[in-house]
Amino acid sequence: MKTKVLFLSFSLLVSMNCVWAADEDVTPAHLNFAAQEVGNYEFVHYSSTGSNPATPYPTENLKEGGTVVLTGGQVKNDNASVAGFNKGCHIVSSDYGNMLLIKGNGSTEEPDLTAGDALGGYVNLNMFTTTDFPVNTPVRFQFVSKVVGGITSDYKVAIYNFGGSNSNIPLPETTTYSSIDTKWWPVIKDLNISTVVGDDQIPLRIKYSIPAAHANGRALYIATIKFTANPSDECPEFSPVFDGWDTPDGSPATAIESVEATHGFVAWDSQNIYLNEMEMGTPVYIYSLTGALVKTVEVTDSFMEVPMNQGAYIVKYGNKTSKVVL
Amino acid sequence: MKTKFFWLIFLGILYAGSAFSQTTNYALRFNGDGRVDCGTIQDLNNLSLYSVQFLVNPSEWVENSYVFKRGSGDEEFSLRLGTTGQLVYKTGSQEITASTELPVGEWTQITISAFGNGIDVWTNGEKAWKANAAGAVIPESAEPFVIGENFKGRLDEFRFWNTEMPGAEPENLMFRNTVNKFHPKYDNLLFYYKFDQDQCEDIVDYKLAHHGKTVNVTREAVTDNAYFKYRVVSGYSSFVRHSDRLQIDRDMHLLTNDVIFLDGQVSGYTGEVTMTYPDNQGTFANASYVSEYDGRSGVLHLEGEGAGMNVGDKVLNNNLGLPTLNYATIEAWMNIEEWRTGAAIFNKSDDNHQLAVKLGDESKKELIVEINGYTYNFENALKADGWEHVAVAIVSSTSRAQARIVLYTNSGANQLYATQLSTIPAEDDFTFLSTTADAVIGENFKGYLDEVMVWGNSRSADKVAQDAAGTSGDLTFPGGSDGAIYLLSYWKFDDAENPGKDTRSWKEMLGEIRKLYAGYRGYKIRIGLISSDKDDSGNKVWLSHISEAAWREQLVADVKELLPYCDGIDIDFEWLYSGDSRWNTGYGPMVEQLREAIPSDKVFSVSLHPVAYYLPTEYINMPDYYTFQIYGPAVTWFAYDNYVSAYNDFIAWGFPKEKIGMSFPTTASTGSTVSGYKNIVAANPDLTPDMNTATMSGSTYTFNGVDCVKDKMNFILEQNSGTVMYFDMGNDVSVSDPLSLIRAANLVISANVDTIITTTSGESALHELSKEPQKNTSLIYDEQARHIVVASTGDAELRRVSLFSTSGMMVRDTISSGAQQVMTTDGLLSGVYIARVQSTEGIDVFKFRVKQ
Repeated sequence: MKTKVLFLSFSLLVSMNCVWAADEDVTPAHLNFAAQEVGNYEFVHYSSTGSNPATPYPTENLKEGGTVVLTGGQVKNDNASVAGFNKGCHIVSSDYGNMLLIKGNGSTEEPDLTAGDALGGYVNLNMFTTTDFPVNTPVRFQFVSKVVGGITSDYKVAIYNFGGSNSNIPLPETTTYSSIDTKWWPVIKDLNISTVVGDDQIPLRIKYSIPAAHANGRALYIATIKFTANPSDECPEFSPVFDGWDTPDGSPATAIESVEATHGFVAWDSQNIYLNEMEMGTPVYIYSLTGALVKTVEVTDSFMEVPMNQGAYIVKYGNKTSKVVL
Repeated sequence: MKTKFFWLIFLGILYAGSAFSQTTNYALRFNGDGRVDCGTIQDLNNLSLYSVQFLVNPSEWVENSYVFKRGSGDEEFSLRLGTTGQLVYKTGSQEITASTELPVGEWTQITISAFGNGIDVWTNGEKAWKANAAGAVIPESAEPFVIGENFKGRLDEFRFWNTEMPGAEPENLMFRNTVNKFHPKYDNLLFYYKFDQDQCEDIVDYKLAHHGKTVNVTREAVTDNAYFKYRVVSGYSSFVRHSDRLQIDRDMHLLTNDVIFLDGQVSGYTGEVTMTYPDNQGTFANASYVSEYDGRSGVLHLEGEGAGMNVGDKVLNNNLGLPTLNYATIEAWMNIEEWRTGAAIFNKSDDNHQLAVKLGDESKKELIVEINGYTYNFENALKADGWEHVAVAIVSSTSRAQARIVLYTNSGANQLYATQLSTIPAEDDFTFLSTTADAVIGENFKGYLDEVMVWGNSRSADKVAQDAAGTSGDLTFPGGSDGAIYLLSYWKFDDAENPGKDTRSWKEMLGEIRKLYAGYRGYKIRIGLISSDKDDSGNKVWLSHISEAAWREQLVADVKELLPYCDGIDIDFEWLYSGDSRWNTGYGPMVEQLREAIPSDKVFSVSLHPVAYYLPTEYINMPDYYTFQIYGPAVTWFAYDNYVSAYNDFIAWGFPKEKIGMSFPTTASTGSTVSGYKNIVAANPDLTPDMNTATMSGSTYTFNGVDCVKDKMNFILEQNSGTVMYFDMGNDVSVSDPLSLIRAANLVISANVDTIITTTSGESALHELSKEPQKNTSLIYDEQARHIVVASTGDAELRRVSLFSTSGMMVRDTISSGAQQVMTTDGLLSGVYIARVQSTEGIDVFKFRVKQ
């Protein structure tokens, strides 16, 4: 409660509640990855002016449903940079539902990944909300991500007002994934977006920063971007030694996913099955629904791409199984 | 105190080796009854293409005295004094009058070059052809080659080349300079007497083939030969440059006789001098040196309560001259004798800031790291049995709290994060630099410590493993790598006389540089003073205080403290312009006070610029010389014409020409962006010596190429002005590269860093300046396979292969073993790279080009 009180006066809270219900999901559709169809996901514009897009980003360039903008040190031109990066961006299904997968350059073991081959990082993904986004009401932001493949620099997320004001930043730069992390890492913060007023207020810009050389040989999953208006509960605070969530939604690992059980998870789209963080050297068996063994794959990398014909399969690794439908 | 006293004595002994100001140019004095017998030189027989050179100064004209002579009659090969002024050249039965105007009492450089149509006789660089259809073939003879028979006067710089020295290439004849191994015809130098080896009874042939025996000949320092004299060649660098610029090798030092380290940081506010890499000398309390314990030699033993090694307050302070420090790593080998909760391996804490690594709960074998109110608990982290290596790395100061500290144990094999964080402060402040408290190693610790390192960056697991094993190149100075810059303090405890010695202090670094000159003389290693403090308006602060007596007195007092460890001081305060009254009220008095403080056996120089040289004339004679910075950023200062006009301005202002040090840059400039010449060379594979502009990254850079540098050196000879300076060593290319600018400069004005030879018997002690040093390894770049293959060429076993970009950034680093190492070049951008190959036999450096 104290967090919210810091943000707004009681009167504002009352007036805004007239517009937005308690715990109303106000996530822009283009950022609601769980609800999107499996397939390619495109970052549609670029800026070569540095880590941020032109400020404010030209309104006419905002798509009706919001805009995702690629910027960063390696984003030098419209065609090669954006196309190359988009090549690795997909909405995929997974054991945990649909999410955004960003495949970096191939690793030594997987040199032929159909990945984002133009950019190794640093790259910034600027994801704008829509222009009807709540303004004067508390909004909770939840961002859950995972990086497959070891890292040495922090991935970060921040939220800026449309005009990019340097004061009263709704969410200062916050680490989303660091070298210490192995699980799904949530960033959950209540935002105060009321302090910047006028045209510069919305849409908000989520800036997700991939450090230099940190798209190379790695796969990035953004499981959740969620905005909740008028949250009714306290914003969760994590222990200093909190080490992340076992699953993208924070639900505890099932018995079969417990610490003693097999590591890893499976994701897929219409062309590939993606094997993530499975034990090196172990076999992964892919069966048809009729029980016929279609393919056996030995795990040689933390992220592996297995091209498959469209169909339904059972993927068995260790003592876990996943049903996938391409 | 006792240990410090011993240390000073040791330094005194060490530095005595460079008491020589420069190499003294000696000549031989003959009084009519002396000679130098060079023995039989069979290689002279029947030579038709050759050149003989010397400097001669007769004190009295003695007809039929000889400059040199071999044999007699038809076997004779000689040059003798004829009638007054006449030099007679004799080969067999034919005589040629080489000169008719040789003066008495003056130095004259004579070069005689034989070819098919006679001889060219060069007199002080002026050529005269003496035609002779039969040439000047040297007859066969078994008689010794003798110098100076019956001659009265002095002879100097005697050379004999066994090949044609065409008149069209006078620059190869080195009339006014000594010869080094980079001379294009050095291999054809049959014998070479400089006469400078005053500690050797015999005359040393620098080609080690034909040393001479003297009879009634004395050596005499030459002070009256303006045509041929040795000069100071100053080169600027810094400890940081010497850490990561691998091209600054021994050979580059041998071409530089006055190395100035710009590492004396002068406070603009107080005049106080602080050295980069301060000396964090340890003082013991309840602790002692132990020569060996449990398999490790040279360790620190701490006795528990009240024990510790105080290493002062400068440890881990932000330090001018270094890159910005954001992170840190503390490493140590430790052996716990008795677990004492709260005992610190490292502790630097005051009321505001803290950084401590301590023992925690014994039952949990816990290590605790405290930083500004954060307490990181690492449970079950230590084995607490026997020697174990621990490294605490601050990997971030802004990341999630738990991820900011990494503990490496088991020599880097285990990487741990805190199992608990406690007492987290209300305000997130991870500042650990510039804490005012003294740092203490082993505070209240009972046990043994060894190899304690403090780094200004976060070491990775593989680096920690190398540090623990003592194999990291980053532990090396000079020429470690970019990582070496960040090793701020390193206590090895190996010196029984001074076990608390910080081996990474500026004093030790100067000592390491001095070792590069081991066996040589005629060099100086000095400290350059700079003042970088700026006020809020961006103005240099020293300008506002130099006129204050207290400021100058502080400066002078601190300079006196530096003098025992170096060969002199250079002042490099930028800039005071024309018409500024502070030249009179501050700068001039500062020069005067420093001159009074700096004894005559130490060099005192002042660095000025063509736009800032207005030192009042009453002070001008006080410094030994001036290092004028005649280069940009403004491209106009790279031009030869402006170099000349700057010299004229200096002369007009009243600087004595012998104190004027004219300079050339190893930088390149677009006018606003400055880069290193080495980068220009790397970016332009087709760069030629005559080029002074080139393109890099789409911009045009102006610089001084090889030919321009030679022109500038020749200008110094023409004017007979003073010294040479270049800025800086780290931006030149390796002297093994013909495009090296300091190598080019030395071909006109040599640094004359000279070997010390005391005897010619047995194998010579002469250390040769290697043109292409013998390598113990080879490197092949396989463009198709996209890898390099490094292989031992003998018995050497590979230890480590590191690849660097030409800007000095390490791009690959591999610990090796065995005789061969294959390293992929995938991921490297096209361009030139430097491979540093460390083997059991030494270090080899290769340059190769990657094409992707």
